[in-house]
Amino acid sequence: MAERDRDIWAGELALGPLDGDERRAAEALRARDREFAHLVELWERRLAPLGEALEPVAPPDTLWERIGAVLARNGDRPQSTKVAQDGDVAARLAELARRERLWRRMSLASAALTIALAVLVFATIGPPWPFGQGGVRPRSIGSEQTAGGSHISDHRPYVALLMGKDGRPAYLITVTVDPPRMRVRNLGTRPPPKMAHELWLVPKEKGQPALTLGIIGPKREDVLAMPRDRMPDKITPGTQLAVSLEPEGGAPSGRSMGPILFAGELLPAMP
Amino acid sequence: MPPMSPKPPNADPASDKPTLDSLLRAAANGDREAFRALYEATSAQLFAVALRILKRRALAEEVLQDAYLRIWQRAGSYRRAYGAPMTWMVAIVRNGAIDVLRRRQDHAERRGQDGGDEMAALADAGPDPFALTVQSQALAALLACLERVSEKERRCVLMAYYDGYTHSEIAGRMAEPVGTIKSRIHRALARIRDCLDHG
Repeated sequence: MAERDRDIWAGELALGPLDGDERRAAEALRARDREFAHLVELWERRLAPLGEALEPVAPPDTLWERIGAVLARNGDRPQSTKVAQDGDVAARLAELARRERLWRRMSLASAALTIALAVLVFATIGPPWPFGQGGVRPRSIGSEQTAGGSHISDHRPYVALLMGKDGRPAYLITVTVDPPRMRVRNLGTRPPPKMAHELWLVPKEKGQPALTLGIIGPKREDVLAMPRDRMPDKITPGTQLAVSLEPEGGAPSGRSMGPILFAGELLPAMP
Repeated sequence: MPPMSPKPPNADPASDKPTLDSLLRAAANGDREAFRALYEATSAQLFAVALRILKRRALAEEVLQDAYLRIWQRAGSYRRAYGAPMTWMVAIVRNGAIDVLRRRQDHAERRGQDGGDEMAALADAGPDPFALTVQSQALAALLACLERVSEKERRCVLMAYYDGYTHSEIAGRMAEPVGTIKSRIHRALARIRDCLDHG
């Protein structure tokens, strides 16, 4: 698409006349393409004075009460992590990495800790495969049952330690490509009421949208079965995993809306 | 996560009233009083935007509620570079309203339901921003640029902006082919952009 046409398309997304399908396509591009997102923002800025020109209409008093009630229910603070909220997980992680030198140091610390923890975990609970039936909670969409679990992988597992910006470990995740499974160990975190932690795989290729790996259940240990199309060659050393805070039931339309709470890199567990 | 200490909303010593900017910053730090003040200062304008697009009060209220929850959640990601806080908030409300509209259109043809709208009369009246008091320089500049596009192009743009109509809905209203409307809007957008950016 020529640059000029892209800009006009961005203008149309901001102005509004795209029909449902066109709009969804444009929104998807906005979510994964920072440049396009910026063009849309410029258009929103150009057109906003029209909205401010309308004669104000007071909403009913009950509206604030409704908003206040939701705030009270959902915890008291906006996103504590102060991560940019717009755009895809991948874009937000990139933004985070750009803005926060700390994040880099943290990843290094995470790598060292991951290996240490992996050793510890395997020493205490044995190798992660095969799975028993305990704690199995397949994803609701496209999930594969992990029943039986007699298949022993000949691939070595990967491990990622997901930490928050405060440096506290939150989840330890072990992944095998074959069979395509993840074991998620909760290290002592929990989403606020009515909210959920959703796990994302952030492909290494730039511009690729993050893929949801499902909602992490409330158990101390959870096993997510991944559809094979999510796995393939995407699991390589250095692949990022991230956990975002989403409404109960997960991000609508598979696109993360919430802040990234924890992130970490997948590394081979047993070099 | 460690709690964050709320900052006083008034960070602008030159004024005794907090600016939207400072309210938004305070809200980003979890200050609910500031968020409430932000709501008081902006909700009537934003409700007008949502109501204009959705024509039904109940729907507009829902969209507005959702929009303020987003504003609260995302306050920390608001950047001054984006534009004034109002620009940012108007975009959030319009996006929410148009999303709702398109979802409803996906289910039912909106055409057939227009008759029952409480504000159906408004829909065709066509807004006339030129009749409004010009409140800001930004609006003045935009109106000046809108005057440089043809009357038909301007009508298309305003119908899309204020009423959330799709290309084909505008085509229906103007009794013209969709292709004509599309190229008209493309032309108008290009001209508005060049006019605003380069004068």
